Amino acid sequence: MNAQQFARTLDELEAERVPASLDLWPRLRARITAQPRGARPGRSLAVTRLGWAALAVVGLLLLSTTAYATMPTIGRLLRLFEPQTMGQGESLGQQLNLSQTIGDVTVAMEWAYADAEHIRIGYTVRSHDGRRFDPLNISLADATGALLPFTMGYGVVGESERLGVALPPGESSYVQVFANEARGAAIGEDLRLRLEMEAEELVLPTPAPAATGDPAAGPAGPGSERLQPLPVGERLGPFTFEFSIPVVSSQ
Amino acid sequence: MDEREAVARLKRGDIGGLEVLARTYQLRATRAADLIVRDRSLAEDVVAETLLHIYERIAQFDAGRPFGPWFLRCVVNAAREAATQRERHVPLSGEQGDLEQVLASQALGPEILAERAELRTAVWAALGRLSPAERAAVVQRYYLGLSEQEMAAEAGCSPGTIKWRLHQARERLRHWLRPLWGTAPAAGFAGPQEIEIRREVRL
Repeated sequence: MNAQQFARTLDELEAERVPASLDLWPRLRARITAQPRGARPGRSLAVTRLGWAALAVVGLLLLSTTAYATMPTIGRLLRLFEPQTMGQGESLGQQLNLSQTIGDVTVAMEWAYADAEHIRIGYTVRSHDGRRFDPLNISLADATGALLPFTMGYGVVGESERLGVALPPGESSYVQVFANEARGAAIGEDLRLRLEMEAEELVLPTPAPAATGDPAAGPAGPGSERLQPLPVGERLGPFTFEFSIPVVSSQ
Repeated sequence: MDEREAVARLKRGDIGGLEVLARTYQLRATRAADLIVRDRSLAEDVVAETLLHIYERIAQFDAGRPFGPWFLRCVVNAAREAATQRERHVPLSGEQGDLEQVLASQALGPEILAERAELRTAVWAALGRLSPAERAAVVQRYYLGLSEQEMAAEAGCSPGTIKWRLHQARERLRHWLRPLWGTAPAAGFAGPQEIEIRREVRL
């Protein structure tokens, strides 16, 4: 592959992921006109994101609810990321329908699957106010308390054309895969598991302010690189879930 | 209305100027940000926040300078920071598995390389293995079409630093994607002898 082919591939990738019809202006205008100029500095990002949520939720609620009802997001994730082993989606595993709420965040354990090699957990994180919370420090233990090795994870937030879902602000869905090294669970028997996780608010960094004395340089002027501490959002948890699922034959 | 007039109107407090600038650059900026943060929703947030930030501080912008390169640089910096924070919390190991799955697929012989979809999937997964800083450098060079000299000037470092950072990123990409092309050297990622590619950037 040469540089031209690589650049062309990047173009094609983004043409697929971000449609040319993208239009950020309506929500930008709504935010600007909703708050007088000059009043913006000092406002918290959380409130900003809440404002976005209020604007976006109206348009997305119907679409996301419909998509969710016709084919749950977890099933779509399984089919996209593991088509060979999980092509049948969540029909292979067991619905859990467990949830726990701490503060403004609800974590719902929706689905789980276990075979001799892997354990897959599907769950959703929702904030009540539209803020985005990401999963953190996820651990899965068997009945003896032994931690099972994390293998991989994947998920979705916002809109995804590949998945055909549009989640409302503050909602994200994930599948975590662990190696099944649980002791004493043969195929056909129930596996007792305990999952713990935290959720941390994602606070979007804003560009650094312009340097004093170099107004033309803008947020990051030539000749300087201003590094700002990454903002840290609210952390909630631990969310704890205990459940049993049958071990089935590998797909 | 051209770009200079748009900036001038924005400086006078007319948000119509911002609308022109947003509609001119939003697509390219969001796509560049998405390549770095790998999350379309977050990419849109990054671009929108950067535009709002500019709206608040447009008085500090020198209208004699071109707006586009400056704005895109701000977006890349914000996207890199957002990606750093995101990946600190959510390891992208799923994408690593995705790459291995693609490369291990028996359907991926040389004759299938014409299948652009598989190629895109492999490149996307390989990009996910780079650090946010490396992805930002790759995006500036190969998506936005900046030269190494331009990247160095904007980052405030020597061209050698940028050259080395890009070289490392290219080597890693070439290593991960080698199964798709056998052992033949990848001409475009061959280091100092690389042919200078200046892609058209409509700014």
